[in-house]
Amino acid sequence: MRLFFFVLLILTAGCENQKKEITPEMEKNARKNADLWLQRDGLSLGKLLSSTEHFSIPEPDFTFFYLEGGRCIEVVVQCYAGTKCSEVSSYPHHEHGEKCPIPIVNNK
Amino acid sequence: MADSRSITSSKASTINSHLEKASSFKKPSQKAVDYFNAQSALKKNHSTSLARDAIANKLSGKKQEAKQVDKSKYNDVLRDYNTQAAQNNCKGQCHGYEAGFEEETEFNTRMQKMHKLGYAPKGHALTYRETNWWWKFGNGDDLWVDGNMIKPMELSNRTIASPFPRLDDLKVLGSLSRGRDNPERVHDDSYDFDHQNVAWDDFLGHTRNFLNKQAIKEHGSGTPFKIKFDYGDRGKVQ
Repeated sequence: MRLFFFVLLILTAGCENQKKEITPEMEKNARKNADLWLQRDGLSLGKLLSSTEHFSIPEPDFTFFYLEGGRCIEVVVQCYAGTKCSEVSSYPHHEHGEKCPIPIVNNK
Repeated sequence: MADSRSITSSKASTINSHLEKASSFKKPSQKAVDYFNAQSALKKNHSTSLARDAIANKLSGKKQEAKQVDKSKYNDVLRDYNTQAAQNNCKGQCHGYEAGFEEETEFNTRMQKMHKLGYAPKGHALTYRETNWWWKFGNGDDLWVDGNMIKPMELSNRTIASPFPRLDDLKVLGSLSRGRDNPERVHDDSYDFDHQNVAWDDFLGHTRNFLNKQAIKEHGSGTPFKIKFDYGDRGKVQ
């Protein structure tokens, strides 16, 4: 049975190349979910900067950066069908001792 | 002095006699018992290739049969079977918990300690059993794990945790995202079984939703949590 699913997975692997159309509603939803994601770490809401360039693979639908307090957290959001953009993951570049992919603005 | 783990000829004949019985008995429940006995005998000799071959060749096909005839015994058999499979995956290098040998009380004590620290030891690959525990008792707290243990792989424009050599990596993490310039490093993710609306032709999306449904059934109620990946010294034994 597992082999069957595995073969099916491989066979259908080449069938997913459609580009989604991004709408303002999707961006709103993605930003909200990215904010909630950071809120769980006790970070303040509404501070996310949207990036047109993506720094992760697979290429996400949305990339945001949280740059407050010397942090550089990349938050990526993936959307599925409809306008639900709730697949969120993040990468804290500063915690890993890496250079931030976008310049950190001095907020003083 | 002979290796205590190797199979002596008398042990091998005991195992074979159990196996013979398992395939010859007509009474269904007896088959399950003999299957269980054979598994137990093999478990005691888990490091030998003979035991592995015997399991692969003679026992795996009997799982369904055992399931039909005696459900309670089947669970024992399946546990042993999984233990053996885990041990084989580790190629004899497993710790007890990775091989599934750990008793419930030991496991709970270890997990409580892990929860107190907030991270898994460095070099430790998270198991499905551990994430299940964290889902139930972790209060939604973040769990830090060694990111170097995860091997991402590409499949159909998505990145997933490679199921080789540990299937648990895929079961626990599923799809991932990772750095474009640093592709061996994966992003922090959540363990939440979130259902996604997917397009009708999104096969992987449907598979993901189906597996999530199964996982919810298996796990029961719990609290979503973040899995964070460490590439430094967190979790290193001092």
